[in-house]
Amino acid sequence: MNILLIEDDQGAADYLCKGLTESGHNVDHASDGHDGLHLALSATYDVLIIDRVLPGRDGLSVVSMLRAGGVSTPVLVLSALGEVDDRVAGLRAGGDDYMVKPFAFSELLARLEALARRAQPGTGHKRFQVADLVLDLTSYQVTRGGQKIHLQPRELRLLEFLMRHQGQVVTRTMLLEKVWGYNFDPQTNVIDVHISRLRNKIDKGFSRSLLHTVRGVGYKLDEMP
Amino acid sequence: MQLSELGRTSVVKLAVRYTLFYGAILTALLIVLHWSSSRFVSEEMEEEIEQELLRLAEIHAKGGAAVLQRDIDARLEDAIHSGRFYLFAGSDGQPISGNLTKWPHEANVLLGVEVEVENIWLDDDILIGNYYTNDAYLPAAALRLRDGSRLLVARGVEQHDALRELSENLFESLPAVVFFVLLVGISMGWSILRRLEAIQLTAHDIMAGDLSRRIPVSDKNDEFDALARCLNEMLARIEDVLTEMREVTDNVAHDLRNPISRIRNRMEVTLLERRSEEDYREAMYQTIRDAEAMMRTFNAILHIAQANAGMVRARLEKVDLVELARQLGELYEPIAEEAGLSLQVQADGMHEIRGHPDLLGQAVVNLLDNAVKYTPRGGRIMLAVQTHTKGIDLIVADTGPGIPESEYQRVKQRFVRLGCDRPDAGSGLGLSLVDAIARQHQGMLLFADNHPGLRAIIRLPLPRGSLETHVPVTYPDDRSDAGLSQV
Repeated sequence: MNILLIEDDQGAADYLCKGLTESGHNVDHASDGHDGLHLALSATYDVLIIDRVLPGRDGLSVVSMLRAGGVSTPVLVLSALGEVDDRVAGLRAGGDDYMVKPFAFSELLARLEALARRAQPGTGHKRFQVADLVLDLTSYQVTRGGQKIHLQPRELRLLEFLMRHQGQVVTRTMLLEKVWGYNFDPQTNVIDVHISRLRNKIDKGFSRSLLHTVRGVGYKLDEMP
Repeated sequence: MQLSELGRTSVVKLAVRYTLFYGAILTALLIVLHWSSSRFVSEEMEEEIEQELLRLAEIHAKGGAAVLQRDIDARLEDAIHSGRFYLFAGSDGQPISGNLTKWPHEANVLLGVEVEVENIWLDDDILIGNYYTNDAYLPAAALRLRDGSRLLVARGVEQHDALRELSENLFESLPAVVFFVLLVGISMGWSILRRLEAIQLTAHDIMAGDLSRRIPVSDKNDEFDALARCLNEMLARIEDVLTEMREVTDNVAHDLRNPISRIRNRMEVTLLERRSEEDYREAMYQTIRDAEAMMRTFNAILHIAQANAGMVRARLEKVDLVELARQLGELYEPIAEEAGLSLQVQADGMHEIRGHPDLLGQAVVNLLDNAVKYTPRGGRIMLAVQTHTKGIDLIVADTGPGIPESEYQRVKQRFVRLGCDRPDAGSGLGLSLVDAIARQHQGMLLFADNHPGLRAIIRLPLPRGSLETHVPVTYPDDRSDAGLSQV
């Protein structure tokens, strides 16, 4: 992915650039709002990471300017403020996702990949397949190796989300947000239990597991672990 | 307080301005009053003089000189004191009757056909009796009678004098009045300044760091007291928020010290000797886990602080508590089952409030987390929504060990962990956050005995007008008001 990072904190920017580069992405970095806006308008990126508080021009206004200029590149807004209402302001300005500092790098990476994927065409798929696991959204049928699997509505939505992001790591917070619509944080491993139920239904009794746990980060639905 | 300082106060400035203004108005008023009343008095007098002269002429015409002479004498009996002057004189001006010894020279002018009142000069020495005009011009009218004799009527101006005296007195008292008004203004300014000074002194003390200082409130119960009370409430709130912040700082220091030193020590020990990559990775994973836990604690503390300080106030939405309970019930059902517990949701009907859906969700989730964690296998958890006269209750009841009643208040405090001997003891922030969220929604967190177990209740106020649309569920006594049938 080609990523533009607009972040004025040099320390944070350094480690994000390093992490993203080592994860196999190309990263450009701008340290203020003006440069960032200029770069975002002049080059093509798959995803933008924009800090809210920036010298020159604040992050949200950069996002608004980009959207006004017809740039629809997905934007992930970073913020140190951390109030629930900031999230709304960030998303209203045209951001596609919102993260509050301090955050886990793995979480950021997972969300970036999800964002970039969403921007690609072909998300209107009605049929998803990973190895021999098939989800047909027109009939809401799940089969594995031709064998029909019965899922609860919520399990179906969980599987759909994992299918849409197959091959990508999704975090527990992302699942809670996108599948359940919650922006809060249970202390217990509720998501893990839902995943293990789903895993019981789609993986149990089959030689190859498709739903993998990525240690310290989240889960991944893929042919390979 | 200096006098110059007093002069700067708006009240004194106002008093001076009003004094000048009213002084000017008063002066103008007095002048007009004097002028119009003296005119009124003169007109009245001229009228009287004319009437009297004509009446006397008539008497002369009817009865002749002798009758007129008698009449004048009779009038003079009491006229001396009332300042009336008459002179009946022959055609040569020799006095016949009256209280003037001589026909005044100036009165000749008046002997026209027309009866007219003019002021003429009367010396005191031509007056008979003890009346003194102080040699003055007096209004007078004169007439030449048919037989050529002359008749003069004049009036003393004592009414005029009285009026002038009154006006003079009023004018003389004007400075005194102005001075008095000014004095009142200054004393008012003084008292206001003194009360403002009390506020200023308090403000200075507070700026110097003594946050416990409050503005003195008098027993006058006036607008200054209202202001002082209002400011005091504000100060109390500020002090609360600052205390809150200080506590948060202490809490953070207290609770983050352990994981930080753990991370540091683990890293040091890991570096002591060469290890396998697997060992390094393991140390890293453990560190990430520690960091994650720290982040969670950190965020929870921030949330509590924000909720307590009332900062997350904006953007209230309509929240359907029944829907919230059902969805959270569904979210927690698998984990309850895994823990060998049955989770039951009792939520029917319409229970809507205006609130913060995410925060309310977080509050319920925290209670559910506790219930799942502390209830032994085979137990039951109930999540219920109930409306009654006192509010809407979000209830999480379990059949776990419960909390002793004496600890109900303490568990709401930050970092209080009752089961601190447990290996999976939480951050000790869960219930503090629930409490803060409940209070932020103008509600409260209550506990009750579930016989056995704990019944945690988030009691939220009824939305306005809701009692008309919902049939309230009432309970016979206070105990059962905390919940429904035991789980």
